[in-house]
Amino acid sequence: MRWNRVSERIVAVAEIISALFLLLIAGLTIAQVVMRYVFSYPFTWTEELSIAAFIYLGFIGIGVAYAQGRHLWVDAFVGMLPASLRKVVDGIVLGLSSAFLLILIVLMIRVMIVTSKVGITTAALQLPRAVIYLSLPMGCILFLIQVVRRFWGLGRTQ
Amino acid sequence: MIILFGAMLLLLFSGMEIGTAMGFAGMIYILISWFGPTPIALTTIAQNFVYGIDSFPFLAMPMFILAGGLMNEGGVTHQLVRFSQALVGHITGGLGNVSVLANMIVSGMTGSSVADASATGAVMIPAMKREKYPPEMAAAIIGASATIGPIVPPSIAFVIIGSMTGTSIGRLFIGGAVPGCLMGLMLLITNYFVTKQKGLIPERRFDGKELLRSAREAVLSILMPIFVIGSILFGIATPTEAAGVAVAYAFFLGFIVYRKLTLRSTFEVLKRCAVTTASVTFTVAGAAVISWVATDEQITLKMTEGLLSITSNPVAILFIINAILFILGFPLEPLPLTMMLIPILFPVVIKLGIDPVHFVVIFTVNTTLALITPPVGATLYIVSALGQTSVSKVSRAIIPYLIGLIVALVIITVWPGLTLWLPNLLMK
Repeated sequence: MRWNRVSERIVAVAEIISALFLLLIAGLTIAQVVMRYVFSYPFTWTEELSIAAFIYLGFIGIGVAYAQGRHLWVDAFVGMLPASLRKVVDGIVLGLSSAFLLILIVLMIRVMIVTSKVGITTAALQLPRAVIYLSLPMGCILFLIQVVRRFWGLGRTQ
Repeated sequence: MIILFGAMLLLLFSGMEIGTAMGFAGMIYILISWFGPTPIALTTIAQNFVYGIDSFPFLAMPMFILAGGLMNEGGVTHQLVRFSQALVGHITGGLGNVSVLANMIVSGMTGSSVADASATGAVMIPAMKREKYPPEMAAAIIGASATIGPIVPPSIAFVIIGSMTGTSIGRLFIGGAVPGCLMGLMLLITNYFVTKQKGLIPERRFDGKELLRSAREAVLSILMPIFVIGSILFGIATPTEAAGVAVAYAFFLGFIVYRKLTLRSTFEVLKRCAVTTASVTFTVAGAAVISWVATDEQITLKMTEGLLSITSNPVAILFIINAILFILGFPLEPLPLTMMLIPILFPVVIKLGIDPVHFVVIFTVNTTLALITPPVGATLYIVSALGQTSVSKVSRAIIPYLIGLIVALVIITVWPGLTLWLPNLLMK
């Protein structure tokens, strides 16, 4: 019960953060247009920052999409399975998803360590690439929490 | 290759999130490579997940999603539907015509079929029911006309495919204009015969005053698609910038002119659009892994040779692809189809000398039909819910319209000039 509350909170916060990233992208894009055409003084860094915000939005928001059932998936075939078999298939899929996300998190942290050692940065903002890469493990952890939660719920509703 | 595709399909059909399924299939491919002569580092997967979405043209996608959300919430869509009603509501086929026209104008802004169906359907389905249209027919007309959404510019589907493949989004937008109108025309013709056969005669008369009034009210809304498309066409703005302007304009109309938006409802729209964006973005990230595997395996070369061994006629090849896409469209939705097949099909088709813009338009028209083919079709579900009728009834009522759209698809496929004439004329 308490864990459910915690996970709902996390989703709500992640949703707000995603909305703010979207707002940031919109603001930067509009600012870029205004600066270029009204003041003929284009920013060079807006593009980089909005791409970074977009990547963060994509990875942070996927956990929210999953929790709300708005992620993209194919329901035509599992929908036809009998309930008992459906449960087994769901269990396997959730287990494999968790495993994949865990591996992805570990892999990305390794990539981050390498890139920050070499010191790769973005062209205009001098932002370390590792900061952009950080979005993937962060998002995957949020996603993983939701997958594990559904997995847990599957076992509980026997 | 077969293992990869098999694993991906199996995971997808078991209900795994699409991006995860594609990443997983990529991981299996790499693990297998460890037993071969050239093992691949696993970190490739993680890097591709980020590289796949690390591109500026992609930003037009969240911006168009947001602009569409703001316009529906802000009453812009409503104004456009009223205007279409005054314009063509009195002709035979009456409100059916209105639906087609309204969808064509609205789709000039939202760029997504599902958003169009819910926006125009909410107004038009009750209106059609009042004029004695059977509910399933009202729903079917809206569902069928909403397929024009991703074809008439701007289009979220074109932004996604354009960014994935490096095709000019501007050219795609302009290339969709004529095929989109052709689809609209086919639907109007179909609608004329269907309504005539059912004896549905419009009750309303042409009313010049009403037309003027609705035109005056809608003029600010109509300016929007013209402005967006115009600025891309004349190279004033990139698609992303134009989409950003569309967001600002939609907010201005909804917040200041029509006063339907509040700060609170705007934030709700932001939240909803952010989550929609994320669910698409994550699958694009996963598709980048498949793209990379396809390159690594030289799938393009193998598939091209395979196709050429059947036939070397480009039109025949396009028909084979169309048939496969249409059949896959029954259980699958456009986005999964796009993510799975564009990384593999696009390079093959280009190698065969087919114009990228022509191919992407065909692909998009075909995959949009997946939204109205049962058992799985998001648009079909939405219009059935709006019309308060069953999906199976709507599926039957939509058949004549679907046939009209298939005829349009065939014409678009065999006649490349139809698609390419306008972009070649207007853009270099």
